[in-house]
Amino acid sequence: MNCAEVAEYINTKEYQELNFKRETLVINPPKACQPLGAIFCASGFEGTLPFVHGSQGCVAYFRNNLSRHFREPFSAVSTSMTEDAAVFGGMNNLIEGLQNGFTLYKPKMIAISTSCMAEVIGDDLNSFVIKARELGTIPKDFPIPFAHTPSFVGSHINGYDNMLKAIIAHLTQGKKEKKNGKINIIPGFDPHVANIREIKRMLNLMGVEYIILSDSSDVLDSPQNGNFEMYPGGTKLEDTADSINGVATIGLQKFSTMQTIKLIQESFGHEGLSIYPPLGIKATDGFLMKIKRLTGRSIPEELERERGRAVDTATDAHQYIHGKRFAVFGDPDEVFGIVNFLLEMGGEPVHILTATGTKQFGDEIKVLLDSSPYGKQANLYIGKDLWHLRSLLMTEPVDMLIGDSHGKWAARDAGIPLVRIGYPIFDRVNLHRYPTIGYQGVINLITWIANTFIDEVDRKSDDAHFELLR
Amino acid sequence: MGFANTAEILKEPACNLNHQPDRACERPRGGESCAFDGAFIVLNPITDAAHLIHGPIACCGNSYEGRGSLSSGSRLYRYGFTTDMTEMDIVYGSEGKLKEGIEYIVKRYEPSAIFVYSTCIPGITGEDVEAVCKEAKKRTIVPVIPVIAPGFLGHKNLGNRLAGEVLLGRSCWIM
Repeated sequence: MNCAEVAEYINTKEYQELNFKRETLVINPPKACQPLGAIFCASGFEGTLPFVHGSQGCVAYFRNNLSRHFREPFSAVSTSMTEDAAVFGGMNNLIEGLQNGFTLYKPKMIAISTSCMAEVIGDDLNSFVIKARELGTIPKDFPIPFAHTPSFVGSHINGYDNMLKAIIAHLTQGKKEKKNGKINIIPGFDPHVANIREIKRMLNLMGVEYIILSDSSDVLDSPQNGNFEMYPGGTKLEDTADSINGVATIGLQKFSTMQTIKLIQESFGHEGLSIYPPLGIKATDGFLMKIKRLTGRSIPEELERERGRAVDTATDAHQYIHGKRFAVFGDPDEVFGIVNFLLEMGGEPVHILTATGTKQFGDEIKVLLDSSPYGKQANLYIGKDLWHLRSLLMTEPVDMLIGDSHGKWAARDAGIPLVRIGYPIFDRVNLHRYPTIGYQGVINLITWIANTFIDEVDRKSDDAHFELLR
Repeated sequence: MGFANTAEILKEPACNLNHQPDRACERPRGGESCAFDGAFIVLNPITDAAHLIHGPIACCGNSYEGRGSLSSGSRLYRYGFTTDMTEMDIVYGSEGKLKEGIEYIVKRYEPSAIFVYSTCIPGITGEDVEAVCKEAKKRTIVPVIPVIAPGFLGHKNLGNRLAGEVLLGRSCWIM
């Protein structure tokens, strides 16, 4: 076969079948690893130094990745294990690292996660940290939560979960007092940090007191005022400790908060539940009604009017989305939310692909798809990669791809637009500053998707069909 | 052919900043990426080759499609090929998986060459990536080139050098 024949062949159904038989090789993976999620989570706590025990290249990748997405500096340290540490164990690296991190960067907390190397050689973090305290390297009462986050298990969403669980378990120990009347919100691995601001705004309007567990909104969307701040915000440590006295905890993502929610259900003595992200009108309604039930607060008129504006936006733009075919890929929670939103708008999800989903996710999204006439054509692909997705886009074409920046080549080959939602977004600016959840999120999503379709029409029109009115 | 150790590679006798011509430059500390990253970014712009990263998802998942190359020809270099090692691969070894991965790429993509990058984990568990490449090479006309630059060997600079040595066809005995 020559190049042109190959290019044609890889667009065929026959090739797709071979492609889906591929087992030993992953091509263009739509996922990152546990420690990336772990340091993202740790950065959302006040004065916290994310600290990775492992080789230094891993942390260089995470910082560089997170900085490219958020366009903010991202501080994290590594114990920089090399050959000698691989042979003799990483205890000296860890203790020296704690000492340097504590002395140089003056954190209020050091949150340790691990990369593969430390996990393969079996470093015992617990005993190393105890040793560091015994040696006086670190004060006895200085908080050092740690989580095992090997990259060869799970993905970034599990790393987020494991780190959050470790931080919460560490800080809330022995802090049980009388109820504080507050509600705890866990945003989950959400790369659109504006979502945290949006949640806070809605809760403020309702007059609900809350604690956001891992609030990275001020850390990864910090003001430019000429001063570098190492720790520009985050959830206060005393608030985190106090979260055990809350009236309830809600995880706004199901799969990136599973272990944490389990811990809360078992040890906090209050209701702990996780929902799919409040993406779309119905899901936002559901979220607000839950808050109402848990806190007894009513929904203020301002939010009702906002809902009305979102419904109006949907009505104004429905003709651009209704009946269009979509492919969606990304992390399970985000994919679930987007599919839910599309069904609400009469968009038809055709290919739904995730590398990080589970069987439970598959079962639940099937129920969602079955509930709508627009979900009938959808096919679900769990544990697949973007090369699989490319085959699907070629054999069963759709009108639009929704996912992160890595989807841009598949979209280009298929000649369709990509609307960027998820992580990472390296090639567009400021998207993380716009919420995708809540009624405001509905307005943003509709704006992005509908305008992208209209842009396509304009770009592809000949003179006779290039119109002012669309 | 071959070097005694990594320090040997880092010798820069012609460099006027290295004041000890018989020894390597002092190793920079912190802020830098790893030897694998260094090797990968040097070789990645070779556009008609496939770049297969043998390791857990971290090494490929965080790095692929990160580097451009002003090529109007092959786009193969952008593909993030990885063996995505899991727990079971670490326990039972994943040389077989790597072998199949190489064969798949040869058959489906017919690249001009395959660079096979060994990362920390196969480095620690002691997988013989060079032998797998050598064996694969026997069954194809495509050069299957091992790049033995696991992250724990050292910093990015070292990886840059190792990749250069690979391009010159010199294998580096580093362990």
